[in-house]
Amino acid sequence: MSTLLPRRALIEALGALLGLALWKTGGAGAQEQRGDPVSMDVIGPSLQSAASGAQVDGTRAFWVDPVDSQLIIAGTWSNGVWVSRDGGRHWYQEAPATGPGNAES
Amino acid sequence: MTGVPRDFLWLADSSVLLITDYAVSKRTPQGTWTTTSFPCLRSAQTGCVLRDGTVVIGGHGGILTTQDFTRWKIADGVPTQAFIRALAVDERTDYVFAGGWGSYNGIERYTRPGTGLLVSGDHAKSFQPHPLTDRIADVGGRLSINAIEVQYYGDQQLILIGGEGSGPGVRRPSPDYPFLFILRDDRLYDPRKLNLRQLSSLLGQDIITPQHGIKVSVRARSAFVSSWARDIAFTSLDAIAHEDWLSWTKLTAHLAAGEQFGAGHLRLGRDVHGRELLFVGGAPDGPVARGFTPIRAIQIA
Repeated sequence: MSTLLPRRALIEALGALLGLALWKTGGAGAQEQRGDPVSMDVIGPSLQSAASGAQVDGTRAFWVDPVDSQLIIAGTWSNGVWVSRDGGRHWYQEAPATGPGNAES
Repeated sequence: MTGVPRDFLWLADSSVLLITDYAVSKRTPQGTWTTTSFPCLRSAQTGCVLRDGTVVIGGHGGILTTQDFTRWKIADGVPTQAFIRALAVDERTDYVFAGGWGSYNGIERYTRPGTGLLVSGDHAKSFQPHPLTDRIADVGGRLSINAIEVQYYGDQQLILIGGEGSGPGVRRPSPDYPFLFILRDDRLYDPRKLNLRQLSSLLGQDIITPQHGIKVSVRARSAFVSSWARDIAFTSLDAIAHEDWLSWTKLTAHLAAGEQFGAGHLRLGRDVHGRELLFVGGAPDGPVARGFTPIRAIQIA
């Protein structure tokens, strides 16, 4: 497990450097682009349809690996935790739900 | 897992921590889960991780810290009836920002005032009201906070704070009940310039999704806000950096006709080409809507 420690630190350092570099290179352009909409494409999957007909209810919370976003972990309201290792094309249940939550949404 | 999933944290050892109502569950990179209960809190809602590996958990009853999931400490300065829904750490300073509702009982669901913005400069051992918290408020008092995002744009610290506007059961946007505030280097953004009337019109209500309803992408130069089970909108980070009048755009305006999702958590990631993605978790509440809750990955930069 200790070998994993530098991985996150390295990624965070690279991320910080990248963010700084983008800021610096985009300094002048930032004025020009202010208010412009960003380009967006829907490329993601549906947890429900990807589950091959299994009754998967709503996603309450999820996590995306910032290093390898092919790994997604989705916590559903009442059907446990589901994991995708291919960017959401296929899902499998990795941990079942074991009890109800409180009433708050 | 016990209860409803509320949040996920990425720990220093590259494992992932799931926060549910009544426990935390740690997932190793190999996919093995270990569940541990926590003391003091009646339920948990959210968390964050400090640079030294300290895990901070917030919920109904206050804020806890731990480093080994066996010894827990309750943070000082947080009202014991507080319902903490948002935690965020400044990754440059380790200052921790927190906020939530003033109380919660599952029946009233919502009370005013909220906790306002709390801040800790001692690794979440204790919290104090932020110096500007009385201005991060509505006519009922300090804001009931749902989400906090701390990000640097260049050297400028931006803190975006979202919460309840008019509140559940009302949800009529009103200037008396603002639901979004921004701090730029500890200066309060002119509330008029936030253009909340336009924002609430686009979102369909004046509520920011709890835990991860705000996400700032420096690469996309945009700030995204999600409104629970409704919609998502974004604005220019450059405009925020200059304290301009904000113009908001509805995210779903960029989706194909018929495409729909319920707005829940927002997360950032990258595709195999290194392009930045905004992941949108569907979280419509209500039995009818629960049948469709896709996660969407939207290329933003």
